Amino acid sequence: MQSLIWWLVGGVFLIIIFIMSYNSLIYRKNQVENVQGAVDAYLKERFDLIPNLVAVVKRYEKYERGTLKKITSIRSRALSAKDFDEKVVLYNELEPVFREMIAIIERYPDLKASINFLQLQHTLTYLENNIAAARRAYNQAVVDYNNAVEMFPTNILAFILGFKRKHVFEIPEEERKNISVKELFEK
Amino acid sequence: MSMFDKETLIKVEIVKDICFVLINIIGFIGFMVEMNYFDNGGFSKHFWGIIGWGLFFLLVLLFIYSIYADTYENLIIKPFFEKYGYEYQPSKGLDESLAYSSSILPYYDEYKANKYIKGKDFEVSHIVLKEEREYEDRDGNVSTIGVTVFNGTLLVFYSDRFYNYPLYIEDSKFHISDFLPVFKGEEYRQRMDSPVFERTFDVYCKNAVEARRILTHYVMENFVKIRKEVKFSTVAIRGYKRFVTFEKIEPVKIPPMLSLMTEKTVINSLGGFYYIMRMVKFFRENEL
Repeated sequence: MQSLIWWLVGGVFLIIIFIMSYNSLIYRKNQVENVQGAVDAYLKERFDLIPNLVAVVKRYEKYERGTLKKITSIRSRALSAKDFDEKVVLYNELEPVFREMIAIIERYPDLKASINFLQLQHTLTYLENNIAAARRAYNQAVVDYNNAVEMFPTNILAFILGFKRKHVFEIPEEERKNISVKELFEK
Repeated sequence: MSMFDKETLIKVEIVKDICFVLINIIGFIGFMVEMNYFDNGGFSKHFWGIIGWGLFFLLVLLFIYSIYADTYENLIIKPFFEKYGYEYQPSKGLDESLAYSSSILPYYDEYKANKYIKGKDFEVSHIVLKEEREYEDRDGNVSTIGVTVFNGTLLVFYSDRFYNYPLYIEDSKFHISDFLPVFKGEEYRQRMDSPVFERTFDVYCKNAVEARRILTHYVMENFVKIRKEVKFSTVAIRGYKRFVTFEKIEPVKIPPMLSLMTEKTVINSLGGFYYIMRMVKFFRENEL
C-alpha cells in the first residue's frame, strides 16, 4: 500500500513537471512570436520608406539609376517575402544600399537641404532606433526560448514535441567590422 | 570662496549651544525636583516620578531641538538653496497623489512628507510611510500598530521624453526560472543583453521593445556606473516622469547638537541632496 502511495506521488510529481515544462516552452515560443511581430512591423515600415526615398532622388535618376534599381528590387522582394528569416536577410541587404543612397543625396546640396529629405532622415533615424530595440528584444526572447529547448528537463519535452532552436537576428557582417578611419578618408 | 556665510554659521552655533545648555539645565532642575519631592514617598511614587520627569524632559528636548532645527534650516539651508535657484520648504512635502502615482512605494495607510526641494525640472521630498497592522495578544485583544514600511526620499524628475509603457528598475534578485526553465518566470521581467547590468538590476516592463528603446547599451552601462556612486532603491520611468526612491536617505539632515557648526558639517548634512543631484544629472546627461 505504501509503495503504491509513493508511485502515485511520483506520478503526480512527473505530471506537474510535464505540465510546467510544456507551459514554459509554449510561453517562450509565444514570446518569440510576439516580439517577432514587432520586428516585422518595423521592417515593413522601413521597406515602405523606399518609395519616399526614390521620390526624393528621382530628379537625379539618370545619374544614379544603378542604385535606384537595386533598392526598388529589394523592396519588391521584401513585399513578396513571407518568411521572417528571409525578411531579415533582405533588411541586411538593404542597409548598405540605403547608406549608399544617403551618400548620394549628400553629394547634391539642394537635395540634402530639402524638407522632404530632412523629414525622411528623421523617420529613418526613428525607425533605425526602433529596429535596433526590437532586434535586441527578439534576440533575448530567442535566447530564453533556446535555453528552454536545450536545458534539462524541458529539453526532453522539446525533443518529443519537436521544438527546434531558433536563429537570432544577426547584424550584417559589414556592420560588425571595426571602422577604419583610413578607409573613410580614402572613400 | 565659501559656500556658506561665516557669520551665519557662528549665529547658528550660538543658538545650538544655548539650546544644548538649556536642555542640560532643564534636565538637571527636573531631576533635582523629582529627587526632592518624591524621594520620601516610597518606590511606587518614586517610579512614577521618574517616568513623569522623563516625559517632561522628552517634551522639552523635542521643543528645544525643534528651535535649533528651525534655526539651522532657515538661516543656513534655505538661503543656500535659494542661492542656487532651488526652492526649499522644510515643512512641506511631495503631493501624496504624485508619490502614489510612482507605483514604486510599498502599500501604506499613513503618508507623511517634509523637506521639500524644487528645482527647474525636478522635485523631491523626504517621505515616511506607515502601514497599520493588527496584533493580537494572549488574551485575544486586538490592537493596531503603525509600522514604518518606507523611510527615505522620493525624487520626481520631469523629462521631455515620453514613454508609453512604464518601466521599473530595481536591485537584482535570484530568479529560479533563469536556471530551471520549467518555471515560466515573472511575466513582465525583461532580461537585458548586458551581463553586468543583469547582475546588478532587474527590469520590468510590459513592452519588450520599449524596454530596449529606453535601456540602450550606453544607458545600461551608465546605470551600472551610477549605482556604484548613488545607492538608489528603485527607478520608475512613467510617461514624462522619472521616479527614484532612496531608502534611509534624507535630502537634508540636521547635524547632531554636539557637532561643531562648520562648513564641513553643513556639507555632510546635505549628503542626501548630493545623491539627488547626481541622479538628476544622470537623467539629463542620458536624455532619459
